[in-house]
Amino acid sequence: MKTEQRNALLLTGAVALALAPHLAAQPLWLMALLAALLALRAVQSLTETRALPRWLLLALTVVLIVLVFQAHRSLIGRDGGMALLASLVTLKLFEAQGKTRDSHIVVMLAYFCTGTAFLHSQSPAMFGLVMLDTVAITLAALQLERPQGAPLQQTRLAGRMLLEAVPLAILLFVLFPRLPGPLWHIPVERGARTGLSSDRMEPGQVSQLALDDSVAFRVEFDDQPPPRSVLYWRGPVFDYFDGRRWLPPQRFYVPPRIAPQGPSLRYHITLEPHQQRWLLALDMPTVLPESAQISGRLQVMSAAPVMLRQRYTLASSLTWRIDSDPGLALARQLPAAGNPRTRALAAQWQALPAEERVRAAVAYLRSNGFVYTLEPPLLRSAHSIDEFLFDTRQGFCEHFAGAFTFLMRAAGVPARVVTGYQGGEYNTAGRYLIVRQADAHAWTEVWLDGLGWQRIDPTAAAAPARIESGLARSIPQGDSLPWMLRGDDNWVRLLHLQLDVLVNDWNQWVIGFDARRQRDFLQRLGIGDFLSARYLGWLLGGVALILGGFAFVILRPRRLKLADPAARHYQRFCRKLARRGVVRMPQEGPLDFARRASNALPHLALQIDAITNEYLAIRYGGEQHRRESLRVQVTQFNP
Amino acid sequence: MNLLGQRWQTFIARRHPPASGSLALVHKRIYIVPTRRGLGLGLLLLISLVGAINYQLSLGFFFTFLLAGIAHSALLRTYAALLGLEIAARPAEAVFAGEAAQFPLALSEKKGRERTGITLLSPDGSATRCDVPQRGEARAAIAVAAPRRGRLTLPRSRIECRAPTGWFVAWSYLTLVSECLVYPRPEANPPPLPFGARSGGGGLQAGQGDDDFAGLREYHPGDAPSRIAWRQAARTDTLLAKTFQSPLASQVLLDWEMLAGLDTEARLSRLAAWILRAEAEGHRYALVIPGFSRPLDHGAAHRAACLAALALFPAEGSGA
Repeated sequence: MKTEQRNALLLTGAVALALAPHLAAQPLWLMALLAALLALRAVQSLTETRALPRWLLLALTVVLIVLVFQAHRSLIGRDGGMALLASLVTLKLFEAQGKTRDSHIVVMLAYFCTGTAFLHSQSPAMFGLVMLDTVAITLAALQLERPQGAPLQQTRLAGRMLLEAVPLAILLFVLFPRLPGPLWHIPVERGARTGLSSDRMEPGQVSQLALDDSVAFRVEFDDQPPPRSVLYWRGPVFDYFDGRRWLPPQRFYVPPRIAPQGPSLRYHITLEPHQQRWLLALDMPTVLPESAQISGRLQVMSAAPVMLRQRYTLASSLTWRIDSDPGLALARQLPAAGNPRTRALAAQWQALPAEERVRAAVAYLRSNGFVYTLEPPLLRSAHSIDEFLFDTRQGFCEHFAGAFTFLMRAAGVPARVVTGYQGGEYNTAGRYLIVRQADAHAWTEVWLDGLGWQRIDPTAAAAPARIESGLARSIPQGDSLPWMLRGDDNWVRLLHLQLDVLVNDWNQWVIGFDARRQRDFLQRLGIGDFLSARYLGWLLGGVALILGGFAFVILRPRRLKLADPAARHYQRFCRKLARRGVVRMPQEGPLDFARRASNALPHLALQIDAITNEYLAIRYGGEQHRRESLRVQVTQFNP
Repeated sequence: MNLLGQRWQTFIARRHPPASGSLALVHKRIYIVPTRRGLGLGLLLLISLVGAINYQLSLGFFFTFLLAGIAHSALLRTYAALLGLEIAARPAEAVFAGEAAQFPLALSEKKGRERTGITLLSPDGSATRCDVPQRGEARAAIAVAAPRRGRLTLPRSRIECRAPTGWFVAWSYLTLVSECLVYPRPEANPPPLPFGARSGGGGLQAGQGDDDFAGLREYHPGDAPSRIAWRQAARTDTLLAKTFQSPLASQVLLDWEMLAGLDTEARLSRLAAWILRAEAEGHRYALVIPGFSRPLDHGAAHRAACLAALALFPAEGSGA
């Protein structure tokens, strides 16, 4: 392959690698079109076809811009901007055919594209891909400046340049001042929401998540983690029932005051982005993270949707009391008609005190053969709660929570549905709790005078194991579950947990290294703020040390490396003599030097002669087998 | 601007005094700045940094700083390509006015670094690229236009390097003392050669003609290899040259006085053209100009001596 062909192919490959993460996030047609263009360019560089005519490139540019605008309704912003950039880089690659100047522009754009891949994901895998591509692009840049360079040597140079950059990158990564917020408002893209929905709750919704073993969030407790049975992670609350679905609150009011009744528990949650505003908190939150608020339904709400992985600190009390709630009337709402059998059942308890009514309903669920299953029969009737409570009697947590809340309201007890996550898996290797999407759960809150909102988990009545030991132990054996959620401790699972520790450390210390973490870290170095002399000392000292160190290593003369081991041994011998003041002149032959050295150091004459003869025999007599003997003699030679 | 330019020139002249023979590029003599491409990379870094701040992208920060590190690594390599390089001037071959003089340089590498993409730039903008092998030597020549006859000195030239990435340019100035002799520009269509113009008479003159073999004499430097009597040389261990007799008609006397009526430069031009022609056609020729004369002879050494005399002939009005 000719050098130009090889270099053109290299540049195309580097660009393709840089665009890959972006194309994966684009509409299929754009992805296919750009991939086809890149493939065409690769074929072109291999077969040395003529460049595409200018008018065709211009036409393609216009077409792509229009298509991108059609798809994203914008040419700026993350998705639209990246689609446009990807299109332009691809076309520039065609224009750059055989032109160094344009190729250099492509190199710069490729660097930019590969760096912006982190907008899509900051996973270790993406990091690896970007590092690989950075080497490829650097190699392409080196080849532009020296087209006939040996590929292996140039690749090694590109790799070395990247490795040399790492210390500086780490230093600045740690020390460069991080801002607590963005410089200007980022237009929010409507990404796919993951996890629980706050739009509505209906049968089948939570059980969909039961098969999803992706991580929802991770929790570190400051002290000993509380028992599993109280780990209720509070998420969206629903208080309007339309006859089939539970809907989120429509009216807002001042949140009631929570009076903690027990010790406060501090913990840190690292939440995977779910593109929604609600945050998760252990029942009931008492200390909120900065820039978060609590709603009337005691939900913790962030100021903006969680688009990036976010770490926040909270404190909760596991027992509490609430004295009054202005929205109590909303928690009594029921449709005017429907589910007559359930209403009739609730009517039997009307005479009892509120606590007794709750107890009666729990007892009803416990004693009537209810089955907790991932695969409940579909509820087809218009009276879905009747159907569940009296006919099918098989359901997942949302069936139980919905039915129980209805039952409570029908019996005159204010009640609402709370969704969130229950439990989690304690990773002893990293001392934190992993909560997965599959831990999604729904339960009920009832209002009891004097106590306020208290949690009742009707699922626990039908399947106590769900709360005590998790999903895997509480559903019938036949139901299928992802293997990470199964209870058995096989080695794959243990390995997976170890791996999760690495992922978590990566998330905490690399991706999650934000203004707050930086402040904590710098305080450990004794740095109070960014204007202090100490900070400048660390920053400038570190930069000077790294840059100066490399300057020293790269600019210092290199010692001549002799390919012949015999010559190396002989040189070692000469150095030893030089230390005694007998320096070999550049033009001096070994025999002359030996004579002079023997005269200067007569007591070593025998050794000097022996070594010189040995060396000459190897060097000029070709007696390679005497090399070991030469090595030993030189080593033992101590003038 | 002009004042600034002058200041810069005097500054550079002071920092780079003329060096005879050879000079080593020490760190005080090397300058380095980003190229336009390097500035483009700087802009890219700035945009990435702002993006990383705005999107709160930790790895975006890392990537930005990594690129800065790569740029620094490239900068060091560009600088290292010049640092410690030793450059020596080699004798330059004479040229004719109007041609470009080639000043050969030897670039030697003693620090154990391969140096690629070293570019030599003469003040008039002609560039030569060369790679210097590790602990080796490379030859390159700086081309300088030679418009006038006389001695041409190597002007202050630039040696620069943009390798390995083209983001930075490191340069230094070469102030080597080196001279090139510039012969007068030969007249384009000179009149025919003035055969035997002044010596008069006919017959044969024994000596070094071309036509009939006349005997052997001792070898003088400048004799054409074809004239050397190789067979005799092998026997006697001394180099002998064959001599020939040639008719007087092939003897050319190039005399300054013959060209009265032309100005100095025109005379020199014609004489130069005649020397070239006489040499090419194999005639023996003598040159007589004020202050210099050379008897009948021919060969490379004779030609060079004659042309040098023309090159160094004092210019009109110079008083010499």
